[in-house]
Amino acid sequence: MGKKKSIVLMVLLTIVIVVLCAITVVPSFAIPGTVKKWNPVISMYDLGTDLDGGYYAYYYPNGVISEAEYKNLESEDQADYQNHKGLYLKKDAELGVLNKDGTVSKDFEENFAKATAEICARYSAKGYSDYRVSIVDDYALAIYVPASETTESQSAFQSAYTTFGQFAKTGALEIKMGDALVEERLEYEVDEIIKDFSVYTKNEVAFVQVKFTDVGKEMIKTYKEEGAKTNEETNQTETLKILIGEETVFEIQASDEHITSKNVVRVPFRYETEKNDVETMVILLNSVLNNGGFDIEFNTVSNSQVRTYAAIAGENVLNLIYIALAVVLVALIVFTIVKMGGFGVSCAYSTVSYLIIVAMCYAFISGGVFEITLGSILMFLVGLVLVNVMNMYVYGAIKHEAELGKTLESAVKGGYRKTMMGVIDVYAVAALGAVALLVGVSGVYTFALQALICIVAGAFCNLLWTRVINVMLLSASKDKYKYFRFVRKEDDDDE
Amino acid sequence: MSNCQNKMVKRCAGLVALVTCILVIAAAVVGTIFGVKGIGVFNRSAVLDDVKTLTVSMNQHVYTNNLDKVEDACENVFGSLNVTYEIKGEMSGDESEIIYVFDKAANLETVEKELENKFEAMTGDQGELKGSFITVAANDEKAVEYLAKNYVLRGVIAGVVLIAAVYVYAAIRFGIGKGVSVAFGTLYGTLLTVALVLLTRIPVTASISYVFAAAALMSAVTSVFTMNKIAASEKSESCNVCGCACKEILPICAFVCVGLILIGAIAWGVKWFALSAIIAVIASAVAGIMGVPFLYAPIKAAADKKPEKDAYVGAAKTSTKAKKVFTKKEAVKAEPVEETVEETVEEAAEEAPAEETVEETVEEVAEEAPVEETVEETVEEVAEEAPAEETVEETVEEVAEEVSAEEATEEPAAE
Repeated sequence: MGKKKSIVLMVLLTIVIVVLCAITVVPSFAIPGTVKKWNPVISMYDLGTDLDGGYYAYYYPNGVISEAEYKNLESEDQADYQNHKGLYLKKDAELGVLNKDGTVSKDFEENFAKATAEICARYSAKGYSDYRVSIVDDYALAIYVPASETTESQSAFQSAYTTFGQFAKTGALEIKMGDALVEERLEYEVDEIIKDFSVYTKNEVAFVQVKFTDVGKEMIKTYKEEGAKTNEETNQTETLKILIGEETVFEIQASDEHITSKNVVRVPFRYETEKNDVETMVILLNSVLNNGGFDIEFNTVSNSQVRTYAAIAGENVLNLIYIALAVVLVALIVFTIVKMGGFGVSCAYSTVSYLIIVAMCYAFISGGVFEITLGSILMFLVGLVLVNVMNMYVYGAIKHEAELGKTLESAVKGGYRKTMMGVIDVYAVAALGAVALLVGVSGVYTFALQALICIVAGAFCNLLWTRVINVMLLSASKDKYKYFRFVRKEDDDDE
Repeated sequence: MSNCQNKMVKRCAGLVALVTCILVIAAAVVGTIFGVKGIGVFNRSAVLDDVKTLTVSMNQHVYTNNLDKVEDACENVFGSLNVTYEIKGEMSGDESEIIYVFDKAANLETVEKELENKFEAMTGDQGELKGSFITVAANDEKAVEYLAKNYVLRGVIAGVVLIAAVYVYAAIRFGIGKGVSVAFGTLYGTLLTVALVLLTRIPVTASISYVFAAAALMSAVTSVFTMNKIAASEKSESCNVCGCACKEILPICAFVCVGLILIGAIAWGVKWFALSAIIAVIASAVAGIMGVPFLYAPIKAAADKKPEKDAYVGAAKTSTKAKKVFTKKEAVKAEPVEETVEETVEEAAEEAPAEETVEETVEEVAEEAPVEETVEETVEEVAEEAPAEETVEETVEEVAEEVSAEEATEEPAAE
């Protein structure tokens, strides 16, 4: 490559890298003259609980209140309650919380235990990377979830609020045609009519898909053929409804829109951008289908009752980690330039390119799929070091070839040739390992995806990008031996 | 083949194996004891363990305008009673609150009373928060669920699949024996990491799964890199198995550890995660530098000891004539041609030390002294000298004829 061409290309490349780097890492600032704010790519991440905290809420059964709520009551109302650790239980025996003698009802304890187990299973099925369900003073629940479930049309708060509300439901699953229970008419239990619920997406719409048993399929077939009937008394069309407790979850129309040719029901529930909510609903429906309802009801969690908690690792932890990583990045760049000269400069370009590629992939290959956690930071660091050490490995091989007396061009070719398989082995095994880790769930699955991003970026930088930049820089250099910081034999002889 | 065969290195290998076994067994014992006692196999941090909470509830006006005064009051009480909280949460609304999460061993009764007295004074007629409504409540929280469904099982399966995938790659690339060594190195690094984290009782959160996954990945990388170097060096006479990949693995380990130390020091809240990650990096380096070579050396030694009877020795030579031909052929091969070739090679090596030059010289030598051709020619000559069976037979017949002719000549002479 000609010298002038190399210089022009390098200048262009430098400009592009600087601009991309600025887009990636320059901190937020208000744009003068506007109300808008500049935000770098690294501020767009969904973060895990370690780095950004999350939301929490309390589930209080009917008849149980917190100490703060108790202290807000009038004194005459306070007399209706009995203290139990940090909670207050209503004395009214009809509620079933306390017996007449003031002891806690065994039925209440059993129902609370069963409901707790089922709520735990729901949150477990949700697949959060980091969450917690705890029992508060024996008769209330505290739920902590990460602030990470964002979508294009829904904030993390809304997502958490929806989940808290849905998973607190303890009613039984019912199928109704008008006001009549279908399971009573057919003389079958609900789980003998419906097999399971799942999520189905098509044309940017997320559906709740209901699979019926043979009995259920017959019922659906008849419903579709006969169509929804009109109640003569109320003059209202009686559609098939799915209820949890008293609340109608969705209605099934007797049409091709809802009922497929194979008698599978697909009810449009939300847009695909709000698929999280549909997944939450499906988990709830399967839970009540398989385990039924519970004789205990939790108070509805309102918007204002959703609390936030700070990052577990402390406030501003992410900014501090960015500072530490910046120090590491600069140290690696300086070290490679000092040790390897011009080749170190090409390594520096490669390092910055790795930063840009990974940072942007972390931000844009997510779409609410995964959050940035401490594992992401760790894999980024490992990948960054691997890129630089592999470049040093190649440099060592080039140096060895040059010491054998070869010309620089053949030494570079020979060095790359001899190290190529070693570098390929490293990245191939790392990629295979990351793919294998995709078998894991929630946090491990997320980690595997992010590791794959780092590995592919590192492989690109080591196997291709550094070499390209090196060719350009080498073409532009005056003294190729000085470029590599090699000592020529003639120089030695002169000395 | 390797420098792993000498006694010193064998002792090191033995020591490393012994220490590793002790660590793993000790970790298993410690984990079992703590698990049976209900404390937990790993030392769970407050996030995953039972905790105590202190909730300071207030009206929205106080939260919006005087939150810092409330927080300062709380921090002062915590400081004076020497209690520290793990996590802090907030809620803003008609009923706002701050929640402080403490370790389960914390004694919050005194703290609660102190805070109640303090807020009573602050919200009294003479207080700075006059007319505000602030309450304090302490609660116990018992952790029930914090892992996604099948989290541990799927994680273990993922680990097994990873090791299998690494083995298959290494076996195809280098051979079965080397594949086993690489898979062992991966497993070794991961197990060592888990054992050390367990033994050191580092407080863990759900993030520890990332450390274990990273340990598996890094161990696989260091193991396969070491094996690549071993395979490359096996082609040369001086094969340095042990420590052949030190030059690359140690810098990886060093740089990552420095990065993690910086992260842990600057972002103090992640110090335990950084420490467990450092353990993972060191374990993967040990796996690559020591684990893989120390396992591979005996595998290679065992493979090299394959019985010689399996080696091909050529067709059995039974006929006298064939033996004669073969012996002469061997004699010619053992003679000056070989010496000449060796001498020429040495001379060539002295003249042109560079590889290319040596190669050229060898080519020249080959042209000058075509051993094979010479041997073939010599064989032909030998074949001419030691004629084929038919020729031998003919020669015998000719001899017989000559003998009979001589006898015939002698008889008339005698008469």
